[in-house]
Amino acid sequence: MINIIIIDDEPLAASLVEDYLADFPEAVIKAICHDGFEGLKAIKEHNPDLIFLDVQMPKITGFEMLELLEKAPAVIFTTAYDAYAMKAFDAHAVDYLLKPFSKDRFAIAFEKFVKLQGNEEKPIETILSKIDFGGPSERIVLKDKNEIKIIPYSEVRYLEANDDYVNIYTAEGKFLKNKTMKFFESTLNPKQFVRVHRSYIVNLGEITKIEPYEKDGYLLLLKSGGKVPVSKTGYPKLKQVLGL
Amino acid sequence: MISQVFKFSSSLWYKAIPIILLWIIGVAYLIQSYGASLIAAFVDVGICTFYLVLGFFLLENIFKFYTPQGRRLYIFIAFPFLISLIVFYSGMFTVEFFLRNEEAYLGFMADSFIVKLFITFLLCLGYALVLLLQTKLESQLQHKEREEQIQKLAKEAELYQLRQQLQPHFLFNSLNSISSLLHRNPERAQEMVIQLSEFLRRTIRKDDQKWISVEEELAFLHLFVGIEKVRFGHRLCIDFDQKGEVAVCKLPPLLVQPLLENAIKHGLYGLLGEVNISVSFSLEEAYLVVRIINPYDPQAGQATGEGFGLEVIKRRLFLLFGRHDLLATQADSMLFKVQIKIPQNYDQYHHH
Repeated sequence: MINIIIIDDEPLAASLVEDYLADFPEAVIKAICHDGFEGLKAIKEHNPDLIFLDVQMPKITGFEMLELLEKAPAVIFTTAYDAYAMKAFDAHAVDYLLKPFSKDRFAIAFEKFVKLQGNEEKPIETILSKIDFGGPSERIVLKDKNEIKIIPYSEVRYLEANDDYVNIYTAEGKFLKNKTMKFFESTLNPKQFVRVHRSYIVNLGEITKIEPYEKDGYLLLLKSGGKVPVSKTGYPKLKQVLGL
Repeated sequence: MISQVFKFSSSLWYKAIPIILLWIIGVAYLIQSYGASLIAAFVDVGICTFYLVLGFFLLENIFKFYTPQGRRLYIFIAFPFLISLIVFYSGMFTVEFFLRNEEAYLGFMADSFIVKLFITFLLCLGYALVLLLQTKLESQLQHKEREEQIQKLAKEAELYQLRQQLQPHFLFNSLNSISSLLHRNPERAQEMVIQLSEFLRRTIRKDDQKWISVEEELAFLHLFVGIEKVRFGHRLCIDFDQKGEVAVCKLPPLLVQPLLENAIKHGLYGLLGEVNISVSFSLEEAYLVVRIINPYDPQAGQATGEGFGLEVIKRRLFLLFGRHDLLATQADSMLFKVQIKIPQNYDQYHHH
């Protein structure tokens, strides 16, 4: 028995997957969801073996939804955009179905999953937190308590390393995201965000003052009143971006 | 013109020299018929023609750097006048030097002083006129070229925009819907194939330069919305409104539909649940005003391709009317409003 959840914002697209699955008696559809939030809830509730996931959906994309899962099920993407294919591949998706897809193509994807499921050595539950989806847009999607927060990059004041996580400071407070500093350093706009310290990335628009601090270091005073240390290697980077 | 003739590579030499020779012979015989010696007349005309050609050359170079415009008639006359004076006096002194023994001829020359000066002036003025016409013609040609360029750009933009429209999500997702309907409701599937075909046919129609009436545009928009409703029917609610006598107003095709598509996209992807979009047409002074209002999520950050659709429309409006102020947007915390104005007293057929 294979427990399945279908997540697609177009009902007809979801019902097509449902119809195609009728050929596989071992497949049991646990839920059909029309956005990422419903999807998250259903995944938590049913703990499916496989999900069929659309990318472009209301509020959060399929990729962003996956990022919010601690342990993701196997995924077969279904989307009309082939631009996402590479990303899906990076996400260790079982397969990637380009809409519209044929029954035969669908069967190939499904059988691929069945085969992978039998292969114990290579678990298909991918550790999604280690993968950089980025998402198609300039924002961070994260889970805060039981709420899903969408934070545009422009609202980020600074980032602070915190073991396997990163603390994201905004006007609304501190949020936790399971990503690396390196990830943010490479995705954030380098003209707006500078990694001034091994543990800090700061939004340049937030800086009000740069003060000498201890021997070789400096301290940034932020508009919000916060203080961020600058390391020996961080200072030249900061100087360069600020044109000092 | 003269300067072109004097380029060595120019084959115009062969045409210019016989004309100059013919001129010299003709004028020399004319002078001779008034009783002057033929040889003296030839020398006189030859020398004067030489100076005249030089004068033309000078005039042309002056006009190359400064073309008198519009009302500055006195400047336009002053240049040929000055040059004719120079040509005339240099010619006269040179002729007097060469023909210093031909008393009779010099006497004849002194008598015809005014006539000769006047003719030289007329020739210079005529040449200046030709030059002026030539520059006018050239600038007109340039203008035409520029207009053609603009038209080409507009076409490219349109084609680009068409590609954007037909590319990924709309077409493929619609086809996917048809694929799905074939299982459950073949009749509805067939209906949608027809709708989609009709939509595509209208989108790629060849006579897209002709403006269409609001009535036609509305029919097209209903077709488009019909397809989108098959995909999102449970969430999408679109309200069309016409204020006043707008049905006969005209607008360029494929201007409103991309905006509506944009509005639908941002509504559907920015919100959960039902999405209400309103489209209204109204006539305000000499403008047909189209307003589209959709709910959106300002917190969503940059959604994919946001603003791109608007840029294309802005560009097309500029290419059509040469104005940047015809598209306006307004965003508050809940609603995104876009408005385009189409001038109704615009010459629709000549400019595009």
